[in-house]
Amino acid sequence: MINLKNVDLEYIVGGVYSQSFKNQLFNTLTGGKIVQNKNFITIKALNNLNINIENGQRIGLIGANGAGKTSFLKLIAGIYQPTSGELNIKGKVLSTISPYCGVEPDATGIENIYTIALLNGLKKQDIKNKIDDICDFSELGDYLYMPTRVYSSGMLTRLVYSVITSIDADILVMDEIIGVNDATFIEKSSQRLRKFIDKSKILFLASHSEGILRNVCNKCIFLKNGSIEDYGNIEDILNKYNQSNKFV
Amino acid sequence: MYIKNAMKRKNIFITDLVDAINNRQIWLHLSWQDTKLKYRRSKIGQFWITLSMIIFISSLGLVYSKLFKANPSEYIPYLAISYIIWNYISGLLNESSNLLVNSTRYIGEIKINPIILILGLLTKHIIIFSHNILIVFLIYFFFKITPNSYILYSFPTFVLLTLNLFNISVFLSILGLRYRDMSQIVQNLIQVLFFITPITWFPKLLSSNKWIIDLNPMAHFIEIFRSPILGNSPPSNSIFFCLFILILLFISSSILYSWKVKRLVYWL
Repeated sequence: MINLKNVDLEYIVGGVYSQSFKNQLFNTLTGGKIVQNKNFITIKALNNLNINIENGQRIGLIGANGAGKTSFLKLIAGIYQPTSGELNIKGKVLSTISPYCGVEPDATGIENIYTIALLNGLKKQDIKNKIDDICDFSELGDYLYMPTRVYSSGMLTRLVYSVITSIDADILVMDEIIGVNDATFIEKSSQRLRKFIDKSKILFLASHSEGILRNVCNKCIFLKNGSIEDYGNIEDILNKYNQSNKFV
Repeated sequence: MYIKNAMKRKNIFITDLVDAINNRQIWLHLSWQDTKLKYRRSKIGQFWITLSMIIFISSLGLVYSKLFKANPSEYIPYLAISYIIWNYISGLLNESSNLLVNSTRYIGEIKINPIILILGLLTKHIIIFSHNILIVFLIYFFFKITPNSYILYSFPTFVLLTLNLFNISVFLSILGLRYRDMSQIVQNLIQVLFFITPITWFPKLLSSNKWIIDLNPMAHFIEIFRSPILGNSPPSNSIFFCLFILILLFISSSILYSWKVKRLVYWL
């Protein structure tokens, strides 16, 4: 279950100048009269969000670029914390926003499986139990014992994909659907993805593809300029979104 | 006002610390992997760390013992142990100010508690240190020193030293992310500290102006570990000094951490 109450998220964007300790020191010493520090800009990424999400929902996120989709996902994933307001999340969250996070090109496939899984909240014992399934599914065979720098990009995707989809989570956060382009792998991987999504209690999926959203989600959040413009059944919201785009 | 608010949120530091300790598998894995990968393609592996230290100590020891007109069998063990600890301290502090700056692949990408990264860095330097500490046994053997029971003190004093360094590391990593010129400042400071701290010279060479040593925390950090290894009891005033500094550091790093941890991601 997820509950957001008056949640605001502000980014602070600093220029190069403001990141100097020397300048900051002069600023303080001279009372800010000589060196004015006006390099900080605040961007309101999310504005007064109020929403209550029960278990069982599959939620698509739509909105123009910069509407706050990724900010919203990162807020749920715990990467950003709200500047003000209350955010309550019950359950283990897994984000696939940066699935390659932690992958070390010089380490072997097996070592990287451990890194990715540990970073996503698994314990070593859990990984040991899952490792056979991960290795089998990835179909990488002896490549698993080689450094990942020798992998093709498709092989690396398969490795990461196999690990991520083996993790159980209550809440899934996805920025575009994760997937593989390998022709023989597609059938197998979409089944696994289905299972992976079905195991979760709540799914958030930001996508520009309405086909995928209709296929996976039952609800939809329409974000506009950092605010929730509308929340409801997927078809209604997609229609509304398309209507609003027509006039632009 | 900031400080007052921060005091209320002080427990964030403690909760993140507890969380990081519960998730120790992550940082232990990352720091081991880091060390392994660095030396994987070399024949003697991570013992390059030890070897380069031996070369450094023996050449500096031979020249400087002549320079200071000191007895090599007294000077070289002193220099070796001092420099091994110094290497641990300076290596960790130098890297601390760049730690979070270089962690863009974690921070902002996944949910990660910055203490995990700091403990990873600390572990990496403890691993390096443990390779260098092998040299102490060589020194014992070569200079026919038999360690006495005081050597047991070196375990608690190492922990005390490490706790101090951990808190400095928290402090420096946050400042280093906010102010990008911090790493230059730290590097300069460390360089100066190397020369004004009794590492390559004996404290007894300083006939007057003892305050240069007494007020230098690094001198105490090194002293509490060096004395027991060389067969003396660690001076109690140094121990108290280190405990005192630890309390100050703990308070200041926990205030800074709790105050700024939410904003770290925007400073990248």
